[in-house]
Amino acid sequence: MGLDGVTMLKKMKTLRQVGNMKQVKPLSYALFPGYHCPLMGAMLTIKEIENSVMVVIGPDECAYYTKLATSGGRMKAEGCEVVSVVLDQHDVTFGCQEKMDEAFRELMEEYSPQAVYLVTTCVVEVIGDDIDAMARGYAKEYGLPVMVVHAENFKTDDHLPGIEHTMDASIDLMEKQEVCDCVNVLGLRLGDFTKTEVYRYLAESGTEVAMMLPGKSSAEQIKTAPKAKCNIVVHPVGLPLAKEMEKKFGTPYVVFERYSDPNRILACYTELFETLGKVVPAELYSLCKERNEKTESAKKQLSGKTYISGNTALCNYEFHSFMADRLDVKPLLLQISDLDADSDAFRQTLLQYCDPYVTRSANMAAIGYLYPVLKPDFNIGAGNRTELTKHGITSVQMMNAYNTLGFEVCDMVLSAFLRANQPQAMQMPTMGKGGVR
Amino acid sequence: MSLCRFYPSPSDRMAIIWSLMPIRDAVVLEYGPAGTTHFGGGLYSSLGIDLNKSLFTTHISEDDVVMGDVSRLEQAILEIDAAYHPKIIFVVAAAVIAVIGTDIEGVCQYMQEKVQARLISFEEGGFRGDYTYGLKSVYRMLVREVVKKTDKKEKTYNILGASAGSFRVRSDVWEIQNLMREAFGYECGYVMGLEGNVEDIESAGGAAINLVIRNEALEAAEQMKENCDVDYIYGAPYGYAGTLQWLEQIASVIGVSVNQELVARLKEKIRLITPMGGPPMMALMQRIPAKATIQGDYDTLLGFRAALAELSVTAENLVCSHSIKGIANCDAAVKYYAKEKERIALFRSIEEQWCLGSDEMERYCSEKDYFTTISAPFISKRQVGTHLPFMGEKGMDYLRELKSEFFDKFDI
Repeated sequence: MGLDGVTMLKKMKTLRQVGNMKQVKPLSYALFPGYHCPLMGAMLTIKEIENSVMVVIGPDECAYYTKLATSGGRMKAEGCEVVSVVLDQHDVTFGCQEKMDEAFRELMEEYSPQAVYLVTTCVVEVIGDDIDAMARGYAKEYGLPVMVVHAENFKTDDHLPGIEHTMDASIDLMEKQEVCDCVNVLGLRLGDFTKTEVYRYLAESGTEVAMMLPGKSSAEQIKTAPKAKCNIVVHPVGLPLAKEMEKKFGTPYVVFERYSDPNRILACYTELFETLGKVVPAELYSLCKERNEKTESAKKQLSGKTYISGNTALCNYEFHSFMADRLDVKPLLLQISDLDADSDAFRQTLLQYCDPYVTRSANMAAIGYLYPVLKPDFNIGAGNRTELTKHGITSVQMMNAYNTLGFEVCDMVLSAFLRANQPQAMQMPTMGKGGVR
Repeated sequence: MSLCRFYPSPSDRMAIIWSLMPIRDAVVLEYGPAGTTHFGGGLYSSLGIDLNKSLFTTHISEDDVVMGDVSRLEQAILEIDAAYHPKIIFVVAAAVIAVIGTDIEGVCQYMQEKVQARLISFEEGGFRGDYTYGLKSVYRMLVREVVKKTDKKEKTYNILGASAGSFRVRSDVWEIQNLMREAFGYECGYVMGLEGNVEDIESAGGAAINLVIRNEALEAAEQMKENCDVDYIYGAPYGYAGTLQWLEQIASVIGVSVNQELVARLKEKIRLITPMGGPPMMALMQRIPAKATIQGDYDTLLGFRAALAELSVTAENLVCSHSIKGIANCDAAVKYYAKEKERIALFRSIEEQWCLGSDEMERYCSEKDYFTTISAPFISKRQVGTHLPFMGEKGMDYLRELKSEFFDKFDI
C-alpha cells in the first residue's frame, strides 16, 4: 500500500527542464504536512518586535493557530502582543470595517503600542476589504505607524513572502537618521546573529549591530535603522527592504548569505569591510586558505557520493553548486520552493555537473517512496525518518546552522558530511536541526 | 466579538477534522491552502491524534480561487484512493473555499464512480458556528451515512460525544469503560469521534445502549434509536453519587443490576465525604464559603458542578466555552460571554475561589485563586496518561485531593 516511487519519478522534471515554479510539480497531489503559509512568516517576524502588536484578521482557525504557535515554546512572542479580529459569516458578507474599528479602539486602550501590524489572511484577500485604507485611517486617528502585511496563502508555496512583506511594510516605521558606525542585519529568519562569526569580526572592528529584522528588535530600533552605515542581507527575503532603504535613505547593502564556498565568503567579507570603510582583518585570508584546504581534503573522502535535499538553512543553490563543484558530491533530487533569478548562476554551475530531479517541498508523506528508487547516500533537511533508516540513508545533521555565517558555514558543512560518512553514522538518521526552513 | 486577545473558540471545521482523523481506515483531505493544514497539524497532534496518513491537503493556487479549478482536488482523491485504499475519504473545505463557494459535494458526486473509497464532503468551512456545530455535524453524519442496522451484539455499548478537544477525554473514556466492565460486564464497541475504524462504526447499531456524554451527540443517539433501536442515556458520571446514579440509570435501561461490590464501595466513599449529616452541615463548618468558578463545555460544567457540590463547594460561575444557543432546556446558571473582554473581566474579579478551566482562565486568574485545568484550550499542558480521569470514581478521588489543597490554601 502506498505510492509508487518509480511512477512518481517518471513524472518528475529535472532542474534543466524547468524555468519557473509552475513547471515544478509536487511529488503528489495529496500533501502532508504541506507548506507553511505567509501568515506564519509574518508571525515569525513580528513576534520578535518589542512594543508592537500583531493583529491577525481572518477566520477563527487562522487566529487560533497563530496564538497557539506564539503562546509558548520556541516561537513564543516576547514583547509583542499577538491578537486577532475573527471574521464570521456576517463580516464576510458585509465587510469587517465596523469590527475592525472597535477592535482597534480596544487595542489602543489596552496595549498602547508603538507600532501595529495588521496581517491579512486568505479570506480577507478574497472578499477584498480595503485593509490598507483602514490602516491609513487608524494611523491618522491614533498617531502611530499602522502597517499592513498581506499574507494570503493561495499565491505562494511557502511562508517567506510573509517575512518579506513584513520587512517591506516596516519601512513606514523608519525615519531619516544621522549615519554612524553600525549595521543592520536583514533576512536572518531564524537563529541569532550575535552568535555568528561575522558578528564577532564586526564587533572586533568596533561596528555595532543596530537592528535585526527578523530578529530581536523593537519598534524604536526599526525607526532608527537608517542610522546604519550599511545593511547586511543574509537571505533574499531581506533584499527588497535593502533596496528600498538604499533608495529612500541612501543606505548601501551587502549581500552576505549563508554561503559554503570559502572564496565566496572571503569576497563577501571584503565587500562588507570596504563598504564600512575599514580594513579587512588579515586573519580572514588565512581562514579562507584553511577552509579551501579542508575542502580539498574532504573531497578525497566524499567524492562520488549522492544526496537528496529539502530546503536547508543555507543558501540552497550555492550550497548544491559547492557540493558538486568542489566536493564531487551530487544531488539526485532537490525539493525546492523557488527558482529566483538571483540564484540562477549557482544553478548553472550545478548543471555543469549533474541534472537533479526537482519537486516541490514539504511533502513528507510522499518522499519516503523515492528513497528505494533513488538510493542516495545522504539526506539533507527534513525527511521521513522511518523510511530513511529502512533504506540505510544517512541524514546529514548541520548542527547549529541557523547561528552560523562566514567561514564557519563551510566548516559546518564539511564536518556534517564527514560525520555522516562515518560507518556508524547510519545508526542515527535523525532530522538535521536547522534542515527545514 | 471584536478584539480577540486569547484563543477564539475553535470553529466547526476544526472539530470536524479532529473528530474524523481518529477513524483509522479513513482519510481526511482538506481542500484549501496548505498552511492551514500545516498549522493545524500542531493542534491535532497536541490532542493526541496520530497524523500518519490520516490528514492530507491539496493546497490551492490562484487558479483554484479565481477560475474555480478543482483538478487538484480530483487528482488528490484519485491518488489517495489508489495509494492508501481508505474506506472513506472525508473531503473538508477550507474557509476560503467556503467563501468562494466551490461545489465540493458536486465534485465528490462525480468522482465517486472513479474511486473505491466512499467520498463524504463537509462544506462548512468554519463559518457555520463554533466547534459544537462541528461535533454535531460529524456525529449526525456518521449515524446517517456509516452506521448500519446489524444484529444485536450482546453486552456491548457505544460512547457518543467523547471529543478529542476535551481535556483528559481519553482518561474519562478509560474510566467509563472500567465502570461498565465492573458494573455490568459490558464492553465498549465504539467511541464515536475518538477511536475505532469504519467497521466499528458500521457495527455500532448492534450495541445494547449508547452512553451520550455530551449534548451534541443527542441527535445522533436519537437517530440510532430510530434506525437501529439502540436505547441511550444522556449524562456523564461525575462525583461518587453522580456515578452511582448514572450506573443505576444504565441498569434500568439494560435490565441488569449494578455489581453490588461497586455499589457498596461508592456508597462508602459517599459516606466518607458527607460526615455530620452532609453538605449543609459541612458548609456551616467552613470559615469562608468554598466557592468555585468553572469554565468548560456545557456538559463539563454541569458535571463538575455536581461533583463539587458533593464536596460542599458551590459553583458560583459556570462559564461556557461555546455558544449555548442550540442547547435545549439550557441550565439557567450557565453563561456564555460572547465578548472576550467580559469573560476576562470576570476571571480577573475572582478571589479565593477554586477556578477550574482553561489556559485562558489560568492566565487571568490571580494568585489569590486555586486553579485546576479541566478544559480547552490547554496548550500549556501535556496529556500523557490515559488513566487520570475527572469522571467516575477515580476522577472523584482526584477531585477530593485537589479540594483538600484548595481548602488548605485558603484555610477554609
